[in-house]
Amino acid sequence: MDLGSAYRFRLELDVWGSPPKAKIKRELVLCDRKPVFDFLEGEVHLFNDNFQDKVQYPFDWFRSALATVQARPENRKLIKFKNWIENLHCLSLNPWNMSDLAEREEAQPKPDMSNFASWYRYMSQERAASASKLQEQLRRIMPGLESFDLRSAGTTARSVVLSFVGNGDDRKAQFDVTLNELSDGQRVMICLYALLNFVVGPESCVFLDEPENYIAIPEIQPWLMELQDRLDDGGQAILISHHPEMPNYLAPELGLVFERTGTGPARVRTYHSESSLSPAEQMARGW
Amino acid sequence: MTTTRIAKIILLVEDQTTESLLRRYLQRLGDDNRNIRVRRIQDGRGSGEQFVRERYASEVRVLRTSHTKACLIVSIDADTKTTSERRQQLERALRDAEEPAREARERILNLVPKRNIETWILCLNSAADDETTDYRHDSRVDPKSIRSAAQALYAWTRPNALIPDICVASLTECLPEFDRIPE
Repeated sequence: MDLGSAYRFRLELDVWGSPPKAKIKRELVLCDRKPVFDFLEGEVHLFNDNFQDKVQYPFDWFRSALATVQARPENRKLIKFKNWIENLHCLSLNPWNMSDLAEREEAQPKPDMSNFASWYRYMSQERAASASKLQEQLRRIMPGLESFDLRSAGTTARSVVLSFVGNGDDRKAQFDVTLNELSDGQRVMICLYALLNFVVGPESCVFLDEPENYIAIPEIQPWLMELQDRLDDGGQAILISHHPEMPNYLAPELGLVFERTGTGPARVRTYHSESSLSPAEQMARGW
Repeated sequence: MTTTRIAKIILLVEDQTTESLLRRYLQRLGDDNRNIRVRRIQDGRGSGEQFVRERYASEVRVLRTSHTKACLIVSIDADTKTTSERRQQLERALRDAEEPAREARERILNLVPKRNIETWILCLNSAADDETTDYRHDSRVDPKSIRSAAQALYAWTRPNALIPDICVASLTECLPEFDRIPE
């Protein structure tokens, strides 16, 4: 996202005890190298858009103070950053944890998307057009899929149900399948395309850990193409992957290498290679 | 997870910019990303054009022997060579691999942008008309201009389309290639 300025966010934690506990030592937001927010050792300093330290108050250092800042006419720079970070998603999909039941609406997906049904229940109303596009895409991916609905499953609960029509010799056969009855790969595909339609956009930043897990090889590159198309107008996605399809497609022009020697710190560098080996083959050899 | 996805169009290209232009063009024709399989430069050795040239014959062979009626779109920048020299390189690659030469209506497109794909993108946006300048790092080439270039390319490849004077020679030469894409 083009925030119009260069922002730097610093979060320092003090960790102690066993089991470990953490408190916020400092939470600092700089805009063009000047502070717009500083939560230091239990005291919050709010700066206005002219970088003047206008408001100070004590706050619980076991919580993020930034999360509680309200928008005002004089703190637009800070709020711009806060809105951006609220659109930052870190996800590691786990189909085993997904429930097909939505007891309520949830505005944000959980990191493992275990609340997909509740999140979809919210998004299908907030972004009906995007929900319709999602269904259209899923029909192309899942042969025979007619509809992807939320059906009543109790007083207030709803359940994600997919309706299929048989193909081949049995064109009239219709059957319903709940989200839980799908394969792991199908559930992950639904989540990945839902992310494309509901989350990925000019103001989003998405971290995805091994999104290719569980899904069929032929489906990986098409999803990456869709992701690239969605990011044409801005936004960012960082994909962590060990699967050959991902680095072979993305690394030559977009790759970052994370490496660590022993138990030392992780270091990041841009992928660059003079080798004739593909990125995946280099990874396989540990080179 | 099982899948029914079958790639019907193979793109053998040098870089992401070429891929983006061609995919946007194919989307304009009605193709889905799921119909497309992309092969582009994966290693750092040599250049993108070397990647395309070295893999061209094997992709042609695979296409011809496969039971799937796919289409192969190959794009290789002319750079400082002539388009004729590049085409001869591709023809030689087939001969060396003991593959027959490309037939008139075969579903194999050979696109040779000169000087490079960025020249075509700018030309399609009426922003460039020379094939000498290296436009690879031109800031006017971005996702928006690629999308509008794809739209223009679609228009210029329609039957009886009026091709504007700004169309560079290498693009004019390649426009009939797009007729090889099956409907």
